[in-house]
Amino acid sequence: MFTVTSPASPVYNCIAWAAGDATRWWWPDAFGFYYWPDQTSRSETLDAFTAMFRGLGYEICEGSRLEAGFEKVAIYVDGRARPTHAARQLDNGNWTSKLGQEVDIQHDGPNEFPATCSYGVVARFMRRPSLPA
Amino acid sequence: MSTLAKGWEADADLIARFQALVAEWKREVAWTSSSSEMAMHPAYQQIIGMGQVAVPLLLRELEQRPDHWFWALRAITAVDPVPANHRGKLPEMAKAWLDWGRLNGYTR
Repeated sequence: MFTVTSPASPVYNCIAWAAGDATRWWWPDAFGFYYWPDQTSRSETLDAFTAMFRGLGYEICEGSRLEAGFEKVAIYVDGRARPTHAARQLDNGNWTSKLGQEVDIQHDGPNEFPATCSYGVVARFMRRPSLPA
Repeated sequence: MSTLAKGWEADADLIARFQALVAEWKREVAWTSSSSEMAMHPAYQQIIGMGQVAVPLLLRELEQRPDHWFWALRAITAVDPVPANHRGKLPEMAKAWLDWGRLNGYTR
């Protein structure tokens, strides 16, 4: 189950939203049109996305379970292992996702998306200590 | 409101084809975050394939409904006027292209 939590916007995407940024479109495109942290490889691979989140303080962890004192992200890949999406866990254990150029949603589990979304499977969960409120 | 510069008026059939491709692209990539997937969509590629005549139409789209037309504009014109510090910032990227369009006589 999911709930829409914002209007549609082409300004930011799921990766930006998972990283806590609602002002930019994040993607490691080869031409460099879009934002990607300087210290991270601009390649559309799970390793590059993992390294990007590692640069934000995340480390690889097991599963989607809510852990006190940590916030988590999930990285999704398609059938060819190309990253498609990222979601971020909220304090209440639910997840928040920006759906491409569409809306933000809050979803019960990491795979509770509208039927129109085909993001593949979660390839990696990562966590970091919760930031002070 | 059209802001195309004189001499860049496209014919009605071309505009209709462009608008149909834009609508198809918007409908089919709305849920994706991957700029590569957006740019590789067949409708987007057909817009690139329209070549130079698509530039003023893309600039008008950017002006009226800012969206991810940067790959197409770069592919057609072989330039990229967006400063590095504006990468990923859609309003600033659109403004850079619209300024470029005015400087190069595509819009007024």
